[in-house]
Amino acid sequence: MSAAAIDLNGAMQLQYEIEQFLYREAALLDERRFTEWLDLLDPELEYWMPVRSTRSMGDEANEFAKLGEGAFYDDDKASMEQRVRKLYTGFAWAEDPPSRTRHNVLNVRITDRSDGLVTLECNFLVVRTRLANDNDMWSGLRRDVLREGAGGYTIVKRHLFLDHVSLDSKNLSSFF
Amino acid sequence: MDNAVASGIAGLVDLQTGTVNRKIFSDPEIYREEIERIYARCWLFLAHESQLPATGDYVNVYMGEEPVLVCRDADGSFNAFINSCRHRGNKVCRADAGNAKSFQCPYHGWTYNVRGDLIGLPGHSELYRDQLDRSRWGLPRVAKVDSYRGMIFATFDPEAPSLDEFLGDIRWGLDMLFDQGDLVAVPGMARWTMDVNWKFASDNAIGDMYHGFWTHRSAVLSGHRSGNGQASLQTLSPSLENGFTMVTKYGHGFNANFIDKSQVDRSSPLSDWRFDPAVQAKLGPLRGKVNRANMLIFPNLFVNTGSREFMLRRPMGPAKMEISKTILVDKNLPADVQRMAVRASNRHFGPAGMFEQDDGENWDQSTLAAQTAISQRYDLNYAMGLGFGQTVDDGASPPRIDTLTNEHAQFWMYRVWAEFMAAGSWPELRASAQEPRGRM
Repeated sequence: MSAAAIDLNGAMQLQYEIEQFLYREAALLDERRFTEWLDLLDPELEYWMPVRSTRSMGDEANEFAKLGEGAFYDDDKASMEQRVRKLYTGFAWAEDPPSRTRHNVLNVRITDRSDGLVTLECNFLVVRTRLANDNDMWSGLRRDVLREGAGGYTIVKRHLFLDHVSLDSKNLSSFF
Repeated sequence: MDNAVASGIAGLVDLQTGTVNRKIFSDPEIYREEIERIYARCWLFLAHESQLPATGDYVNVYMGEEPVLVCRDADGSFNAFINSCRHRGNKVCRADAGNAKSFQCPYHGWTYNVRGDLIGLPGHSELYRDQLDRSRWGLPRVAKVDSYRGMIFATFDPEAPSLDEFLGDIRWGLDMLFDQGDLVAVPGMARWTMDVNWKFASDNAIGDMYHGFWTHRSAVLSGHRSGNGQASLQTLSPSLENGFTMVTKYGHGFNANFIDKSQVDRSSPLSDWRFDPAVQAKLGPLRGKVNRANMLIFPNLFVNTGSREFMLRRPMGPAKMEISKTILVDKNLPADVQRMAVRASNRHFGPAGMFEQDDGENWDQSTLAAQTAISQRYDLNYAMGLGFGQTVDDGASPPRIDTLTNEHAQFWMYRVWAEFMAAGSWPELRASAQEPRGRM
């Protein structure tokens, strides 16, 4: 077997493992198993979804706000735990009755594996319906850093770059 | 619409009973009149000066429904004009912000400078035979532009009073925010639309201390804090005492609750301003006790002195609006403390904000319920405390009411809404507009 073929086998195995992890994670969110989902978030989590603006060609560097500027999500593990705790208080009106979501993880590209960390990019397409007539769809690019541990992967970084400037949604009470 | 019809619209607010007819939140004709009688008249917030630091910097914003370009001129002044080419009406600039020397319409190439003057058009000599008077075909300018504490405002109405007169006593409230530090706008504006009549968002901004304990109960119970050094959020029941309410001429106002300084989280540098003698001297004894205030600059700017934001709610029809949120931060704080402040705001307000996600759900429902014929027979109740609100004018502040949870400010907004809808012009409005006095 050639060296190239061995590398391909290794790459395919990693791709398979990572995709299966991401699909299982997405299923936890769709099944509203939020407490189990929290277990996948690393204690060092950086969960970030910057806001975006329309810029002229040549000014693309200013399209996305930077870390420390305006963001839809600017969270860590502790604040994500608060968000989940909120859902179970009995008073979380934006999610009670609960939204229905379908989390699609697409075009998964592993870009780096070093020091026990796997870096990847993927596309996300989250569909939400709410009550009888609310329909939302959010898409974008996601950059994840996963930590390989004895018990499986945990999410160290999740950066979410939406395709939208002004969201056509009364709220963003779903997880991504 | 003649003034008699407009008076009929104004009559949908019942001053005796504190009730409001639901049609004002849904009727397309009333909405069109609001655009003419409120948005075409009022001074409207455009941007904070710190968002346009250099010559040629511009932001694309909205005054009511109108897209407006705001540009910084070489002399440091601000020009504002409608972003609509005089030839076919296209936007001459489609980016949200940037820096420009001129704006060129993408349709036929009419070109305007940063003052909105028409400076060139293809074929001026050959095709227009030099007959087009370029000085008459500039972008439509607003009537007046002025600033208060770095907040740029403009009005389309040449008869409008000065910005100082329009803001009046609410400047005391804005000072309560801007005296906290050297505040500048943070880049990155969260924007989102919802199927909501703009007034539900405004009446929430001006003084709905009643909804906090209930709408935002899940955030409070989860342990969320809103930043600005509060050890905890408000209690889980609404309180009549421990704060005050202010309303002013032309529809502005706020609720402010007091903070128990022994309960402030001193480990958080976000609370330092509360113990800074220079800041406290500017604020004075009453404002120095304020935990946070939610404020409305009529008609549609929410100002929050807690996690420090402007939230502009622009009308897009009787049942649609877009919110754009601008965070303010004290530029003299260390970088890591500024980061903490921005993070607190990001987590608090915005479509995913621990507080605001539940507001969107509720305003959407209020708006939906204003649209059906049978429900419209049943007026909404804004009468909490009606007749019990004694204005106090003791020199410690502009006239105020010394209770916290009430609907005085909300109903005041509808009273002023009715004044605007009944008045045919600014001179009429200046003659008829009420000051808060006596019992409300």
